Amino acid sequence: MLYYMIIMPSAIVQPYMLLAIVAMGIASQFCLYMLSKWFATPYSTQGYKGFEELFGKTGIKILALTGLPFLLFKISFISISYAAIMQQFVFPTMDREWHIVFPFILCCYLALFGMENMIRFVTVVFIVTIGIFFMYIPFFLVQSNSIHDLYPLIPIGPEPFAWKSLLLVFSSFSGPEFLIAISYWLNPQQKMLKYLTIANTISVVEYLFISIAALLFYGSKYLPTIKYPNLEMGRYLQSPLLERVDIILISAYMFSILYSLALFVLMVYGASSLLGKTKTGTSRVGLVVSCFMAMACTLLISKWFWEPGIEQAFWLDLQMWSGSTTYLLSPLLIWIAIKRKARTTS
Amino acid sequence: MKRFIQATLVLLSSCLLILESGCVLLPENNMIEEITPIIFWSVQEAEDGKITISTLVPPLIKEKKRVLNLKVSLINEGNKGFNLNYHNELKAGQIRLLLVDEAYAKRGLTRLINTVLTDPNISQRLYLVVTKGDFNEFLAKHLDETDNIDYYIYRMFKHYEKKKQGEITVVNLHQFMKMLYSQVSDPQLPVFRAAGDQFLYEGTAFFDQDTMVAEIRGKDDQINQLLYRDRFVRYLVLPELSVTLGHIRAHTRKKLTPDLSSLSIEIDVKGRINELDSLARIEDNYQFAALSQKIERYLEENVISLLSQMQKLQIDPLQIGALTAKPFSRPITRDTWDRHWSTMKINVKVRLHLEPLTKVK
Repeated sequence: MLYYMIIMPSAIVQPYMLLAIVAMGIASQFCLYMLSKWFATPYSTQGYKGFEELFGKTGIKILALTGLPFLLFKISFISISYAAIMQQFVFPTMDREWHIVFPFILCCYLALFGMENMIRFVTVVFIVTIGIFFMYIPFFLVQSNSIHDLYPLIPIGPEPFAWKSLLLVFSSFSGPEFLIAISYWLNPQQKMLKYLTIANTISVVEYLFISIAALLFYGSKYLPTIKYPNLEMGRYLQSPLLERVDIILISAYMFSILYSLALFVLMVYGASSLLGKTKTGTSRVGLVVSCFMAMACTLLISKWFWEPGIEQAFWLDLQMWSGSTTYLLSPLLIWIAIKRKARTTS
Repeated sequence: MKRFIQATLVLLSSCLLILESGCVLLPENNMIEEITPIIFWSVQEAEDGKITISTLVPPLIKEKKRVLNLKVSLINEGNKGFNLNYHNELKAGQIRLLLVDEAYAKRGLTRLINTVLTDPNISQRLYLVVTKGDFNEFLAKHLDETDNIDYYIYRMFKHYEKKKQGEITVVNLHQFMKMLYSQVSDPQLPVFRAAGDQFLYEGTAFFDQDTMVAEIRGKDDQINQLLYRDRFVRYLVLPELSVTLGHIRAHTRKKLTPDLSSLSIEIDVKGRINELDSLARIEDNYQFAALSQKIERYLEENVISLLSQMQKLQIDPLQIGALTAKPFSRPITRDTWDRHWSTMKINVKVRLHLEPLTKVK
């Protein structure tokens, strides 16, 4: 999840938090191991039928009902946070609500292409976002860097250990649990664990890379005072062609934001059609309606419950908890279900 | 697929219609003919706690220039005032220089810098400069249509910053802030003097936190350039020895003893003799060695005197305190560092690697 890349360096304000990234990367590997067990079963290729066999009809409905608020909340959180970034860096005078509406129109458009095409679109997203990586290389070459900014490597000092940032880092690794829902389209194989491990390693390396760049560039005392260090760093870059490199950077982030929004909207549609009695298959109107539902929910939160300060901190905490819980519990749940099924059939 | 595209087009065009019908999305007018993107602000201290803020308009077009200045108590009060005094709207998005008068710098820069930092339009690459003399008078002598003095001053800083050349000190907002926030180090800024229609480089100002406390010039400034991140210095002029060294590159190794009682600095200086009063001084190898030894001693003495000046003021512009950070120990506090630093013994070893003069008669 790329949004976390935007906020994470503000959690990694002490050099020893770099170790936390590695630790949480290992923890996330356990979740991925459980996930790979799911991909190894024949249920994962069967789509709805597979789930029906595992949980039963009412079980699916309960799961869809619990999943729906999580999804809606994730959609709102991501889009409002991105809108806030757009407002701060690109169009400071524009209303935030417009920054929410336009991406929703775009993601509605993307979602209309259907799940299969959406999953293929990930190639484009990957190419664009991996490009962001290269933009941080110059910060390792800045002259005012010194290795002493990365010390001390272990937590020594009067300040208490920040377990909250640990949780934040863990929730930054979340996201792969949504693969369960789209496994039907992925034609999973036995090698899935290998691919997931590679992806996890890439995330760990990426997070480490950007956090180290931010620490070197700002030092551990200056960094905590900055809200979006990554983007501020983009602001510092200069190119002979463009002055505001950060605008390009933010637009590059937009690809992944739009992709995840569209994916979540499709999932919201899926969940609500599971809840309803419609057995007629998918319809475009239904999708557009669920997109508007998500947008209305987001606008509602943005308009009335997104004051800077306590409310924003509350949403961030909520996101941190919900991200971590879904990442931990959904692979666990599905793993237990598989185990139970295996016991009852044998 | 076609129907999707049609649906999107309908959606987008309806959005555009809403926009057209008077709902203002971007309430900011950036029509280029109607705005004036200024290049610098100059801040001086005025009586009864106020400041004078001035700038030069219009930048970079062939028009008669004008100095705008206002006596205000807040910086942005000045910016607003400029808009009311001038027919174009002034925009700070392209601002590159912040010139601060010496008297103001000696009172502390925090307030000024906080204001600049919070403005989202202002880049972190803004150069900070301390000025002496009457800067407004200097501006008043550069009002010609073709005289883009503000732009050329900016280009000068950019030129010397690019390859980390040590001719003059160049510090931007980000570097200043990083030094200000770091536990034990202090920032430094360049000092310029405005004299008549000239703008002269004087030296480097040392800061204790955000307050200017000292200024070094000439030889001391050159040595500071060499010690500060191993810059390249084109000429190291040593009039006392009647020698000029050219194309100097220094490589510095600083080492603190674990109990913080002494600091040893080893400096490798590579360069060539560029100028000498008489060639007779380096006729044979013995004499050459003697001369280079003499220069080494001379440099060592000067480095020590510069550092002891810093010790006396309890400031650390060369970031020696950063060396106290260790992978597995607690970082030290400013007070502890100051206590150790002011009494620290300093050993300096300069090693000169000179190429002799060739092709000379």
